[in-house]
Formats: sequence, structure tokens, C-alpha cells
Amino acid sequence: MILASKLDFSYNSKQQLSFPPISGEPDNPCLIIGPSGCGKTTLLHLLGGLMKPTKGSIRVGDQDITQLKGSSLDKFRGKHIGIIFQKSHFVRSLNVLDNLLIAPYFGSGKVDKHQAIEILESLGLGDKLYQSPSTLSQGEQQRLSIARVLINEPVLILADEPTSALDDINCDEVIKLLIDKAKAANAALIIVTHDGRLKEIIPNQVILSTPSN
Amino acid sequence: MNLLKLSWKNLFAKPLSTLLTLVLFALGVGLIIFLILFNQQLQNKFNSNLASIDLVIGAKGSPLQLILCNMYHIDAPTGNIKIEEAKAFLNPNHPLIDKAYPLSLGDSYQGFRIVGTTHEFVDLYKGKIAEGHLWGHHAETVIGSLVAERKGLKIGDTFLSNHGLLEDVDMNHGDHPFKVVGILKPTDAVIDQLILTSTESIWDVHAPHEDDHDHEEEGHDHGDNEIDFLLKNPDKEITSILVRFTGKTNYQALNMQRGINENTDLQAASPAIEINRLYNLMGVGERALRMIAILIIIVSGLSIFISLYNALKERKYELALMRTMGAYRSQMLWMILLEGLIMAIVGFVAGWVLGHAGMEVMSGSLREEYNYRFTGWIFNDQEWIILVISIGIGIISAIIPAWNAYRTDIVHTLTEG
Repeated sequence: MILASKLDFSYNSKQQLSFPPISGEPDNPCLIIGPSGCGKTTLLHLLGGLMKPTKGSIRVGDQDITQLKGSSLDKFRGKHIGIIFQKSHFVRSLNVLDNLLIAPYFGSGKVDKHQAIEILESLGLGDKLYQSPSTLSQGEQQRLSIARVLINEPVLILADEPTSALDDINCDEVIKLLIDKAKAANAALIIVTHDGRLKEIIPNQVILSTPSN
Repeated sequence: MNLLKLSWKNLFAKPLSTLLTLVLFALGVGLIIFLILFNQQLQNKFNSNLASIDLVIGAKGSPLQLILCNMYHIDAPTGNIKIEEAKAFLNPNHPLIDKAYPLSLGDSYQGFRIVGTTHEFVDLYKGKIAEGHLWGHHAETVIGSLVAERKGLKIGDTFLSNHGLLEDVDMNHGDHPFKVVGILKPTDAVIDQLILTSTESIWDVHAPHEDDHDHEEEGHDHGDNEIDFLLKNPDKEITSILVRFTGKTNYQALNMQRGINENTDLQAASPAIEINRLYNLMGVGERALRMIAILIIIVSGLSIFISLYNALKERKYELALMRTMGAYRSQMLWMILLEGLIMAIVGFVAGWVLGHAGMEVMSGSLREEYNYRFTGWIFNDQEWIILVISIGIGIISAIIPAWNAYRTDIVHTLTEG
């Protein structure tokens, strides 16, 4: 569960961003939509603890992550927050399975190879364990990103434009998978997008507007 | 999954550039290890063969040659000297001379030198009889352990000597076979590679044929004192005399060398001084090689730096990704440092093997040429120093890329990528 309230952020004194309250529950995914430049990605980075807001609080589970600093924030993020990016990135020198295993190594610390293989199988990647991620299709790469997030059993999953690089069929498949798996893992899901296709699937929406100076 | 595995995989994701760096590193380390091993063994050989000899007296010529020939048996003699001229130094009552060992060189058996000398020569190198007994007259010989091992000679075997120190079948002394009556235990000194006999036996081989009989008769009555026998033949020649003084700091003894060189037709040389000169001469070449090796290692360090630095640019996004997964900044630092360390350690190990194997291969040809025993399978404390230096170079080469990895900003990298 996540609850963010009264969030303000400024890159500099001219550009002030204020965000509406955001909340997410495991059974109620939240879609954040808005035009380019409205601060969608910035909001996602704030929620993920990658940047600090100038004001406001962000509760993830029982923890206000704005109170965490340095390596304790890194550890908290690794354990409890999973982030999926628009374009999938992987460690090039590692195969699919090892790319999945580095997530618990850096995150929860509990590296379980069998669990990793099960997750990959459930996402239809069971026969690609020892391939390089660069040989996977776009859809497969995004599924591997989802696997990497799920393996740490996070309380919050953040997704930044997870479907914008995918065609309709892959888009539909990936987003349903994401919603199902988040629910099954009991994790709150927040998706930031401008992809209109998702509006029909996720009813809970927060609309950001371009900031007025 | 752990940092070490991650570093390892990263290195071998680009096998060719990693291989190039490793080969460079291994070459540099290998060359230095080789030089260390070679130097250590050469100095050991030279020092153990000094055998507390203070002066070598022989014919005029190069003093270094005199020492190399008579102490180390790796150069040709400077010539022979008449006993008449040298008899003062053979005199057992000489006040400055504790022991004098006459040597007669010039013949060999299949590359192994035959030395005509006294029984005391065996004690000089702490030689012990393993089988048989010391030589008497009539071409009896005692052979060093290496001669026995390499030529398969046993007690009672006979062989023909060659005139000169080279293997040359056409120039053997056909009618004067030598007989093996004793074999020495290994000493690790030069005596291992010598064939020892009496001075008289050497003379017999070289005597005109009609004189043979006379000498053998003469041989029967000179008794056990070989020095006395030499002194009774002032017209005969020997090659050199190895001299040990009664007291090392005796001023007169120190002056003796100058006296011989200035006032006689003989030459006297100090083994310690000549060998030091030799070290200094070799030192120039060795220092040059060492500099080249150090240069190669520095270049390989640079190569580690460049490959890590370049790879980091491409891997920035990976690092940011790992940070979002919960990796500490310090883990990113360690990951890159480990890559430098792995290259340095793998390079060191490969170079270490290369150096020792190279020494072992080289020792084969040294054995052929000089009958000196060298080996690649000895170990030197200096090798630890090379390991420490290698690790240092690995760390230094990786420190800037590692620091860059430490500073990688997640958001900045992610939004840029």
C-alpha cells in the first residue's frame, strides 16, 4: 500500500511541481496520466525514492520513505519497491536467469534459484533461462522486467510507461500480466503513462496537468 | 549471484580486450619472475663455487677468464704455467698460504672437463665419495654425480678423453683410456660436473709415446704426497693454482696478488672481485630487461584502466539499474575494483606460471651448454613482492572507474538513457 500526500518538488526556483495525493492498494491499481512535461516521471522517481520531494510525505507500507537516507533508502527500495522502466535494460554480460537473480542479491538478499526459475516459467520465459536478454523480443524483455520486480515480493510496484514500446497484442498481454501478478503478490501497483490504451483497463486514474508558472 | 561473479562475467563479456590486457600483464610479470629465478640461481651457483678460495694463479691473460675457467669451468684456460715458476706457491711451508690446489685442465670427455689435481680438491667443495674410492695413479678417475648421471658411467667403466674442452671425436687420446674408480655424492657445486684424476695422469696422456713407460715407473715411487711429486717435476706444466690464505686480513696476503702480477710471468686474480665485476656487467643487461618488464606491466595497468573506463560508459545504465534494485554505492565501487583486481591477479598467476615454465625450459639449454643445474621449480620471496605490486596496479588502475561508478547518479542516468 502506498500513500503520498502534499508532494512538492522543484528542480529550481522557477519550476515548481505540486502533485495531487496518490494512493494505491494491491487490489486497486492506479494509473497516472498526463501530457508530456507534466512531471509524470518525476512523480514516479519521487515515489520510488530515487529523488527527494521538497515537501510532503510518502508512506510505503509503514515507512515514510522521505525520512530515509543513503544506503538505508537503497536497501528499503531494493526490498520493498520494484520499478519497471519504459525501456527494458539488463546487465549485458549476464543471461536471463542471472539478470533475474541480481534483483534479490541487491534487494532482499534472499537468492533462490528455484523460485526464480518458477517465476520465469510462469511468465513464459522458461525456455530462455540461459540466453542473453538481448536475444529476447520486446514483449519478452518487458516480461523479464516484471519478473525482476516480482521476485523481491515488493509492497509497491512502479511502472514507467511499461507498454508504450509494445504493439497492441503485447501491450494487452503485458498489462494484464502486471495487474494479475501484482494482485497475486499483494503489491500496490502504480503505472505512469500517456498510453491511452491503458485507460480502458485501469479505472482508478489520476490526471496530472502541465504546471502553470 | 555475488559481486565477484558479476565482475567476472563483466570481464569475460568482452573476452578479446580482457585477453589482451591479461597477456600484457602476464608477459611483464613472467619476465620479472624469470629474471628473479635466473639471478637467484646464478648467484647461488657462483657463490657456492667460491669455496673460500682467495686467489687463483695462472698464466697471463684476462683475469675474468682465469676465474671462469678455473673456478667455474665455463671458459677456456688462459694457458699453462711451469711448475718451476709457481713452486713457491705450492710450497706447503709458505707462510701466507694455508692450502694450494694445483689444477691441470685441457681435456674433456663428451663436454665434461677432466681436471688433474690433488685429493684435497675434493674436500675443497665438500665432496664425499658415494661409491668406490679416490683416484690413484694410472689414469684412475673419480667422477662427479652429474657426469655419472648424464653419461651413465659406473665404477670400472673406461672412456677415452678428448683433447680440448669441446666434444670432438676426431681429437681423442686413443691409447690412454681413463678408468672410473669412484663416484662422488651430489654437492650442488661445480665438482658435480668434473672428472677428477691425478696431475700425473694428465701428463701421461699428453706425453710423447716413447716417454709413457718412464712416467708410469716414476709414478710408483712418488708416494702419497702429490704436491711433492709436482715439485720434483719443475719442467712440467699445470694450468693454475687455487690458493687459500692463512688469514683473510693479512696485509702481505693482499699484496701478494699485486706482487705476482707485477713481478712474475704469472697472473693472480681474486675470484670475489672478478665475480663482482661479472655481476656488474650482467647487471646492465638485467636492469634493462627489468625496465622493459616494468614498462610492460605499467602499459597493462593502463590497459586495465582504459578498458574499465570505456566499459563504464556503456554500463552506466546497468549500474543505475542495480542501484534501483537496492545496490549500495559502495557495492558498485567494489564491483569495478574487483574487475581490476581479478585482471591483476589472473595476470599475475599466468605470468608466474610463464616465468617458472620459461626458467624450466631455459634450464634445459643451460644444462646442455654449461652442465649447470638450473630449475624452474624453485621459489623466491621476491615473488610475493611482485604479487603485492600486481595487486597494487590492479587497484590503482581501477580506482578512477570505480569512483565514477560510486558517483553514478540514478535519476540522471535513467532519464538520460
